[in-house]
Amino acid sequence: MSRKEWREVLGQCLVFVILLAGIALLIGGIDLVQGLPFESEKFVIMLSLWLLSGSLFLGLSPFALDGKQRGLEYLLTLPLSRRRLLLIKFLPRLAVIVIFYLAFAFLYGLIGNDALGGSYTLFSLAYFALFFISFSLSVVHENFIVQFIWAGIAMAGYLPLCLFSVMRGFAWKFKVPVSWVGFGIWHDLTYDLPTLAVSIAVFILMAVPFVASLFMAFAKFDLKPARAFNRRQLLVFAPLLLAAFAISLGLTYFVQGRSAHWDSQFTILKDRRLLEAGFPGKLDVHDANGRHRTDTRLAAFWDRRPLLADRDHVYLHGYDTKDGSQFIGSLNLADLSWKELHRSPHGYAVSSDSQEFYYDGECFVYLRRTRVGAGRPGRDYAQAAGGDILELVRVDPASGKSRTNAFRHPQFRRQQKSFFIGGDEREGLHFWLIVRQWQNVLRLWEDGRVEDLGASKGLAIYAGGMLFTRGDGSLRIRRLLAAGSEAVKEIAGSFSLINHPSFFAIENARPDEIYAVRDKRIVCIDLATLAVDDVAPARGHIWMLPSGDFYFVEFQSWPALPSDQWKKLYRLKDGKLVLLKRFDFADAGYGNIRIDAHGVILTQWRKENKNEMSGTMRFFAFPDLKELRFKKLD
Amino acid sequence: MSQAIIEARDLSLGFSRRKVLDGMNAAFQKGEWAVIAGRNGAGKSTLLRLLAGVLLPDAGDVVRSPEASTAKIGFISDRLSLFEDWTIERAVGFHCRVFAIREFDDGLVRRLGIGTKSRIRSLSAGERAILHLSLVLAQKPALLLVDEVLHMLDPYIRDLFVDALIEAIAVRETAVLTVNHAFSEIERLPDRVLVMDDGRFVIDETPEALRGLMKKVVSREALPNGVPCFFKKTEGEYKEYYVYPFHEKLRGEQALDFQDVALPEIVKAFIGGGYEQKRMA
Repeated sequence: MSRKEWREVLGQCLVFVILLAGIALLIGGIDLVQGLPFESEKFVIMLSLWLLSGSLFLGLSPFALDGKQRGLEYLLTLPLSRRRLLLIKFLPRLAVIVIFYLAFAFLYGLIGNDALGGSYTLFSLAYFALFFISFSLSVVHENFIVQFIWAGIAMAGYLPLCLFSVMRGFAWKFKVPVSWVGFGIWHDLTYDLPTLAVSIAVFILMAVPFVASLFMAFAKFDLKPARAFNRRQLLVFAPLLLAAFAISLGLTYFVQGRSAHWDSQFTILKDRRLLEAGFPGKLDVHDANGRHRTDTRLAAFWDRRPLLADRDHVYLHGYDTKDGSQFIGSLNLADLSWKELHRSPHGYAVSSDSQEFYYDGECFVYLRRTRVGAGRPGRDYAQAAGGDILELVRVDPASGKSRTNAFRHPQFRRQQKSFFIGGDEREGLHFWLIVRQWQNVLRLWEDGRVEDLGASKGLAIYAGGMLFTRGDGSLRIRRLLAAGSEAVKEIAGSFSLINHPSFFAIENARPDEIYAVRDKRIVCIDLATLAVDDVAPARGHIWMLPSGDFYFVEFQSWPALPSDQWKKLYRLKDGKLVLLKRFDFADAGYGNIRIDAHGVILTQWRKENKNEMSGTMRFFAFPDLKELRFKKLD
Repeated sequence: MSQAIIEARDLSLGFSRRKVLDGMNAAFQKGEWAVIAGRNGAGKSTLLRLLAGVLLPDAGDVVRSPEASTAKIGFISDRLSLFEDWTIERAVGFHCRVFAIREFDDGLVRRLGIGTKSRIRSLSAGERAILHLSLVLAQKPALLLVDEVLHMLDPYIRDLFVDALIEAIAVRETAVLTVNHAFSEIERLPDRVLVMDDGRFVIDETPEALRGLMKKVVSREALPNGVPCFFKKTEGEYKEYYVYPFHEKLRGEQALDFQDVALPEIVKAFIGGGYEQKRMA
């Protein structure tokens, strides 16, 4: 019996794949005729829609073919219990759905496409939910079109219930009204582990009544008109759905309501004070005397680090949950007053990932979409007139005034995260260097020119007027000139330029040397001679700070183990390792080290019980790495 | 009395608001051939489907003896339900796998000269019936349920079909339960005749008993009081009166010519009587 089902399902899949290939060829062919390049986003979006319709079709199909072949009555005379029969119908379809999904996930990862962005999670959940729901409605009616309509209605009820539960949880978590949490925030929710876990649990829980009611009612499935069966299934389904919804909300509250609100972001300031940026929109400055709070009156959460911290001000980037816009503001460290400097409306972000900023010594710089592209998803954006234009916004820290330069390049059609890896000037003209995911290094000139500097396998570094990129088994070094660039040197070896991606650029500094990993060893590259000197085994992470300083955190075990008892912090200077401090965790739990401009933050994780971890933070200020203690710091 | 191979206990079933069976009781014995007759919509096919398990009762139970497990019940519906797109070869292979049948006797199919590569869709009703019968006989069934199939068959195939049923009864003591309207070809075969009306059995007798219980009187006059008439047919000046229940002492009391009636006519009279009583009600 299961062989029959496998045969049928595989037959359906074959037709499905052939149709898909046909449509892909057609679309690709049209693009080819029009002279357009292959667009992976278009393909991914088409594939995802195709998969959604596939899950719907596979879910609805179990008994349709039997009915069409007039074999349903015969099927019911077979020596199989009803539930076993249903299971035999269910499992091959589920297997195919999972295989299709894995293939898609693999392809998605291979293409490295951002077309679905944060919606990938939503797509995944909807894809499986659609299958379960449509399967549960596979005997709702003899007519396939009526089944299809019912599945649509069920999905229209299911998705809002799930999303409501998730949004409700988000509101509980941050103690904000649900109305603040729009559908657009879904992208950000999925980057938060508890929210993601709750979302998955809610989607599964809410799908259970559909499938469970079918399995329970199916024990009495027979040849009577579908209405009688539907009534029986509904009688099981309704209480199950109510229970699932109640459990979903309970679970959401349990996980979200009780989980610590969005982790505060800590920064050690120059004068050994501590800045805590918390949700919603709270800024606390801690010193020996206690806590001094500034309420910005924003429903915002903050980026992981300040954009800049000088003697008088700390400049921060935040995300306003009220309208989805992003803003830059400054906290006056003298009177702790808050001033908003700049705001970028919702929908202008170049990718669904977090926005990347760069301080070029004068201004904060970031990329955004143009007005025509704002709010458009990947494919729409690419196709829009001007979809190949990005704007570079420069915000003056003192006045908050901004200037905009527009840049046009075919790569900008892709909705992908952009990293600034440096900025400089030649003959009085500014330029900024960006790397877009999986693509080339681009130099954006102040006058609007875009210069393609070629590809780098992994992130590149700009230092000493030179661009360091990774090739196949070598490090390529090019000097950037006012007009073009010249190859300076190519050094053999398997290099990793940034092996801890915390900072991507050296800002406004002229270091004499940089450090990288070559063939599992730390090496020092002298920027004057480009000589490469071996330093030590790379049993840990190299930290590159925007100041051009390099540090190395050595792990007790490499790769790290949760049972590790210590980590050592070294300064990398003049081609040598200088031990600064050994951090012993002892019984305090496993520790993570974060290095900032003015100190080190150590987070120690202790396992409270099987499922719970508790974290404590300790702060150590440069240059002596003396531990700082603050009152009223939880 | 031997043990019942299958038993219907207080079976009730309705479609929407229409009650088709209402508290039906019946039992069928090993090795007996029972024929169920009745007017359209009486519930005959519904009963067979309930016994086969393709319909489930709203109330009551179908009690099967241990030897009449699902795998040992063969059901041939009037729809001759099989997967139509399949070839005979695939259908046989599938059936043998699911029912764990080691040997399949394709003699009946071969006698019709049907190729195993033929699709079921392309077969005539008779050929499909024979194929279906071959499949269920391969199960070595303890109970065979055949729903209004015989009348679809040409005389040759009908003989093949009936002979196979007789052999099953003889060799394996299979209980055979058929729903029939046409009795002429099997008049002498059944051990038991059941007539259904409004979801219950109004007659459940052996054919001999039934012949004794129903007589026909042809007359121009009305029947005298005291002679129970179940059904009346008018043929020109004459009327045919079907007397039920008939007792031999009626011959002495009434100067009437009580004629024997053949089984098909008895069944027809019961069905006609059923319609008539319904009209009068």
